[in-house]
Amino acid sequence: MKGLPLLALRSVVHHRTQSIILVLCLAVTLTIPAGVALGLRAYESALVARADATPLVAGARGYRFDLVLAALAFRRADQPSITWGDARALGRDGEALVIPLHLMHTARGRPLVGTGPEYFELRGLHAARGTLPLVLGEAVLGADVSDELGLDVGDTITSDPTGLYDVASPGSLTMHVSGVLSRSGTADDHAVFVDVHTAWVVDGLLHGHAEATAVDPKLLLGRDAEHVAVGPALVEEQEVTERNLASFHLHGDPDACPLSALLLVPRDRKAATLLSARLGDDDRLVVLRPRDVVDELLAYVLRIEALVDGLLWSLGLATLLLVGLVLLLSVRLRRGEIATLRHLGAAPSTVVRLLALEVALLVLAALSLSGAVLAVGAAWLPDLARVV
Amino acid sequence: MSPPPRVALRDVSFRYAHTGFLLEVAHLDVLAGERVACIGASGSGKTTLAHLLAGILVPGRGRVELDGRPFSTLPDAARRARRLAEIGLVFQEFELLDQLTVEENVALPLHVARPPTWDAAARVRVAELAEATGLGALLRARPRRLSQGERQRVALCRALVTRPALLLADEPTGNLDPDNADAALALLFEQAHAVDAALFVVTHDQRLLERFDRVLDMSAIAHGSAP
Repeated sequence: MKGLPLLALRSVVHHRTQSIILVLCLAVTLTIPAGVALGLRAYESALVARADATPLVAGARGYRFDLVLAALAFRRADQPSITWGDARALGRDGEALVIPLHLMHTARGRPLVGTGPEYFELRGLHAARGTLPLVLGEAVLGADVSDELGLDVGDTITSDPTGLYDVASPGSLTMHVSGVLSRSGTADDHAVFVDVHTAWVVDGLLHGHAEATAVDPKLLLGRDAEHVAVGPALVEEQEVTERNLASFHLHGDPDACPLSALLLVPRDRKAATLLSARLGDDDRLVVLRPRDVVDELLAYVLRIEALVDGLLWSLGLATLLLVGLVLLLSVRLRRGEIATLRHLGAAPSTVVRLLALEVALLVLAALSLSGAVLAVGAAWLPDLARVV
Repeated sequence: MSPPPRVALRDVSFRYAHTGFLLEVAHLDVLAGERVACIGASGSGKTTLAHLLAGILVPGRGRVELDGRPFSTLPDAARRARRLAEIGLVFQEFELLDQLTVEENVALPLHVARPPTWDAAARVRVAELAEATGLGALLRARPRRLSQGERQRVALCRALVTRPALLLADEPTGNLDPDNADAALALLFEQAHAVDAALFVVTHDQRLLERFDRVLDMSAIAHGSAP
C-alpha cells in the first residue's frame, strides 16, 4: 500500500478510539433502519405466504386479527370458541373441506395444536421421522420443538397444567412422540400437533379411568338406572396407553366440544362465495379470507413503519451531524499535521482527498459492521416472522 | 559561463496582511553545494525568508528563481510540485507524523506526490538514508518512541529523500543539546554534500556559525519593518 490510502489507513488506526466511536455511531445509524426494514419485509412475506396458503378461516365473531393470527400462527388469544358441531355443520354439504384447530393449550411452552390429518396435507407437512399422530395420546413435534427440547420419536411430552392451583382442573397429559415433522420455516416448526380428540383429553372432556362400577364402593357417591356418580378420589388417567386406551370416553354431546378456529378449503370459488354468504348474517360465526385480514394488518404495520422510519431518519441525520462535527474538530486538532503536508508540497486537494479517504474508511468499516450485524440478524428473521 | 545559483532572490518584497510586517530583500544567491547560515534577531524575518525561498510564501514584488528558472511566479500547483521534488525542508519541531513509522515518515513526500512515487527504488533510498543516519534499526519504530536526536535525523532523512537541489532548515538544532546539535549539523552537511544540495540554515546558535561557508545576517541583507 502506498500514497494516500496508506496515510489514511494509518491515521484511522492511530486515532483508534475516535475511529471506533465513529464507526459504531455510523453502524448503528445504518443498521437500525436497515434491520427494521429487513425484519418487517421478512414478517410481511412470511405472513402473506402463510395467508395465501390458507383459503378461508372460520371462527367465532370477535377481533378478526386475533382469529386469523391464531389460525395461521397459533397465537393464543382470548378468542371465543366454536364447537365441533359448528365444524360438522359447515362441512355437511360438502362445499368445503373443514379442518379443525384447537389452540387452547401448550406443551412445555409450545403451542399444542389439536387438528386432523387434513391439516398436514394442506400445509404440505410430512413426518421426517416416525409417523403423524394416528391414535389418541400421540403427538408429532415441529422441527424446532424437537431440536430445542431434544425430543424425538419414542420420547414423551407433557401438556402444561391449565390451572396449577385448581384441583378441579384436569391434570397434564403425557403424550407419546410418534414423529417429528420436516422443517417448513413456518409456525408449524414451533408447535406440537395432536389429534383434536387428544386436545379434548387435555381439556378434561375426554377422559379415561377405571370402570366406575368396578371401583371401590367407597368412591361411589350415588347410582341410579342411567348414571353412576363417583367421588374426586377416582384418579383420571394422565397418559394414554394400549392398556387404558379403551377406557377413554366422552361424557355429554361431542358436538359441544370446543374448537378455536376452522380452516376451510372450499371446493371452488363459487363454494367459497356461498360459504361467506351463508355465514354473512350469522351472529356467532364468521368466515374470513386470511389474505384480506393480513393486508389490513400490514397496512397498519406499514403506517407505523413510516412513522418509525421518520424518527430513525431524524436520529440518523442528528448522528451524521455529530459525526461531521467530530470530524471537523478532529481536522482542527490536526492542523499541525495538515500544515506539514502543505509545507512539504501537498496540494490542498491532496489534503482534502486524504481526509475524504479517512471518512470513506470509517464508512466502509461501519458498512461492514452493519452488514455483519444484519447477516447475523437475518439468521434470526425466520424466528421473528414465526412469532406472528 | 558559470552555472546559475541554486536559488536566487531578486528585489523581493513580502508583507504579512494580518500583522503588516514587511520584509524586503534586494539580492540573494545561494550556490549549489554552498552552506549558508542565516542569523538575526527574533522577528527579523528569518523564517519568512526561508519560506520565500521554499515557495511556501509568494513575494508581493520581485521574484525567486530556482536553478535559473522562475519559481515564485509559477502557478500554485506547479510551485508545490517543484517544492515537493526539488526542495527539502527541516523544521525546528521536526513535524513528524506520529501515526507513521520512521520509514513512512521519511517517505512522506513520495506518498503525497501525485502520483505517489513510493516504489522499490524509493524503498532502497530510504533504507540507505536510514543506514547513513544511524536509523537502520528503527525503520519500523514510531516517532514518539524516539529520542530528540533520532527524531531530528528522521526529519533530515525526509528532507533528503527526494535528492533535493535546495535544503532548507529552520532552527534544526534548536531542540537539541550541544552534542546532538554538533552531530546533527555534521550529518546535515554530509548529506547535503552527498546530493550536492545548497544548504540554507536558519539558526540562533552562534557556536555553529564558523562551520558554514557563509553567514547571512538579516540586518545586513534584508529590510524588515513592523507596521
